[in-house]
Amino acid sequence: MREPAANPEPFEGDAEERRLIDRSAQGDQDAFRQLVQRYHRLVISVAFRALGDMGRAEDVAQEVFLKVYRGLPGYRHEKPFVHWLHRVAGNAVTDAVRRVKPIISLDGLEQPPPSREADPQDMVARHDLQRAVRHEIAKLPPHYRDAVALQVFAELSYEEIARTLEIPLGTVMSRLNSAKRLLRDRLGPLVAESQPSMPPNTRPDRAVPFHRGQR
Amino acid sequence: MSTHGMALDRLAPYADDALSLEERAAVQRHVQGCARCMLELKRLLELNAVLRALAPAPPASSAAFWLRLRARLPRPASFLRVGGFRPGRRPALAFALACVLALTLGTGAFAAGTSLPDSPLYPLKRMEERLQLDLAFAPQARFQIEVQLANERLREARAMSGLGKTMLAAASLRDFNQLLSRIAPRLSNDDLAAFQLQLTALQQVSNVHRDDASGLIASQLGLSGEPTPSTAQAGDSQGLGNGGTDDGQGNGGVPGDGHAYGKGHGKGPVQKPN
Repeated sequence: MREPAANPEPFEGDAEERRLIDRSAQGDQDAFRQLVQRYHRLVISVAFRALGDMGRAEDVAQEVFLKVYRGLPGYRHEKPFVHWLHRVAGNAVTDAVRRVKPIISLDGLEQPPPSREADPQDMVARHDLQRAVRHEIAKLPPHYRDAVALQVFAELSYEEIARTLEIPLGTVMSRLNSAKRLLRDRLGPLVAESQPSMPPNTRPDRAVPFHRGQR
Repeated sequence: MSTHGMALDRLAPYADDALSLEERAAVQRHVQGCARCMLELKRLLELNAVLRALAPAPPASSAAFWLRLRARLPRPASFLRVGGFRPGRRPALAFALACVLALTLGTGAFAAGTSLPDSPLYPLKRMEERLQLDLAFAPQARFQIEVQLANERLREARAMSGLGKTMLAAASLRDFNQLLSRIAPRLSNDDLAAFQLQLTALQQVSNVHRDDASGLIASQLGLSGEPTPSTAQAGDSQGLGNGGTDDGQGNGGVPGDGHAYGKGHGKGPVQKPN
């Protein structure tokens, strides 16, 4: 999380986390509980921004941690755990956005019958701007989608996105640039309608950072 | 690359203030004299405003989250082992259980384990659950399974009410109430509060009757106030309100969750999580 001051449990360093990861990988559920406790807020934040609904966000966060738990035995400490977690979370939330339906079933067995609600065209038609934005992000080509999801849902800076995806900073810039221009085109008039006049702080000569923590 | 091409390729980083000072100045110089880039930048800033407006997550309890997650983690290898089972005493039962166990495991216990009440696999899941309970002889093991099952009933209730299947939701909630009345005396305050949070979440998506459980939790927590009308209604009528809850309780819940709850009985009102 990028809010160290608000974190009730400051990290005691990588050694402690490494120990928790190793023990969780061996099936120690108490160690995993502590790991979940550390990263619960982070994953919920990503999921909620992507889904806009706490019930769904929690369901997806559960999936993320289940995936992490199953994947831990293969985790090799070669790169920071949080980067892996962000990637798993980013993929899970965009997957979840793509299969939006009244309630997210984690079972994969009893899919509710396809409803008109789940139809992306319908959502756009209902001019639900935020849902349209989320859906358009989820529909981007994968390499664009990953970068945008990390910026918009996980609120990572360009540098953090570069480290998480293990690509050069310049590539992050190009991808986000292309992705956001594409996104803007696809959302078309929806975005303009939402903003009858530009707020003063978004004038081009006074660009404000999208990312809250960015310098 | 031309100056125009360079600027056009860096408009989003410019709008996000992610460029170096030099790059930033270069883009700015170009954009000021280029109507097309200016328009594109304006469009990107509009998009940013929309993206920034995505609401941040409200506070959430990691204790409640963990309770639910724990119930879904792949079981440790020892969980289903028929350890402590005394086949000499009840050989017929042991054989029957072993058969059912083989059956459920063989036909996809995992699928049954997460299925919902409207699934054809659901009866199998309930059978598997009863089996787990029957095989758990130690009170503590039994208790832990019942906690997991209570969580599962809540999950089902939420899923069913989300799908508009009110009858099934109500049935799961009824079973939850039954389980809760058995395990409530042994639950830590954190666990009780976690259940309450989940009930509140359920209330938000449905009008399924949940007052029994809320009242039970409230009385178990030693609630003196009346935080919400729905929890106040059931009150202490469950008869599990006082006494006999101090044994071995500790604070088994998740610490550091940012919520404060009353510890034990008679220590004033419980602070509700927001």
